[in-house]
Amino acid sequence: MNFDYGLVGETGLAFFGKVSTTACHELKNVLAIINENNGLLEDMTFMAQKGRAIEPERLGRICEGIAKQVRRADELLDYISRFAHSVDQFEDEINLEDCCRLVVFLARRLTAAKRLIVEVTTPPEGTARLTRGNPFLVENLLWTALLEAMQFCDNGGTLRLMPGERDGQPMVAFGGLNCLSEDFCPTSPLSALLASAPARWMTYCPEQRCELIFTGGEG
Amino acid sequence: MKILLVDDELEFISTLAERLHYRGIEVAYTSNPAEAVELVKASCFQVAVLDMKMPGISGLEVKALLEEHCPQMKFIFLTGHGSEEDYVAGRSASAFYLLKPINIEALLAKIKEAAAASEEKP
Repeated sequence: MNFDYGLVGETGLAFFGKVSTTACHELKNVLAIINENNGLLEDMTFMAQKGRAIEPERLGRICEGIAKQVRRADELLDYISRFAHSVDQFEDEINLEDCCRLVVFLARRLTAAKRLIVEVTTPPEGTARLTRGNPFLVENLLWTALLEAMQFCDNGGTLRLMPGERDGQPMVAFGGLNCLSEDFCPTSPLSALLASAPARWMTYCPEQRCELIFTGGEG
Repeated sequence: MKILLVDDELEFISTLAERLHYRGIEVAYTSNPAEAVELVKASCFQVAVLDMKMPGISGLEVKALLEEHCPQMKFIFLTGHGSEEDYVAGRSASAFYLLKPINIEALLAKIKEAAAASEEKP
């Protein structure tokens, strides 16, 4: 692999920072909700001590609210742990569908800002879904491509990530880009990541889709 | 006292609203900033408690939208980040600022302070 350490390193740090701050923000929100539910239980305990009856159904809803937030934090930490471990191996076999699902999860606060629905499809049986490469670099490439692709979706639209293959090479197609224009040119961070992966970027305006084709991987 | 809560975490504000209600405060809440503008158009609030970062819009932007309809309203920003950038932005917007998870007594103190300031402002 041919790495442009300067720009790829800078882009990678920005990616790591963005994912970390987004995760911190979400975990703080989880803690804030658990804290309010705990406070509500304290309030109800205080009122019960003053003789006011506690409704069991209300208590049940508070408990369910806390359990929901525990599940939310647990799911987030599972994804963050996978993300953090992606730097463990310099090169590894990468399942593109799993990688897409991870990146879509990590970016969901950003995609929610555009009220986008983001779907990851499962490739048909027999389709290449693996590539070899640097796992962190591939995640960064998919993240950057996703952020660039979502600019070409209307607010409230549906963006689809479709792992599959193009001429025997593993690829991820981005569909639903209804505002895609012919003059679209990848930004310099995306270009640097494409060169490093290595991968190439294809734009198909009539089909409203782009493809990220991994040219150095194995099918 | 009448206050407005705006945060994209609906479960957070609905629970907080219930706790404030137990403390004698009249509360309206929404997770949708556009709906917050409609609520303020319909009826002015003394204080608005806003999340600093919501999907697609910042608390400062929501503050500007609400102030158009209710100039005397005072603002308290809530954030999970606690970054220097947020703190400076919140303070420079002549608002109060609290970190999540919040302490209800600290929030009540800020609400009372903000409401008093709202009454002073013509």
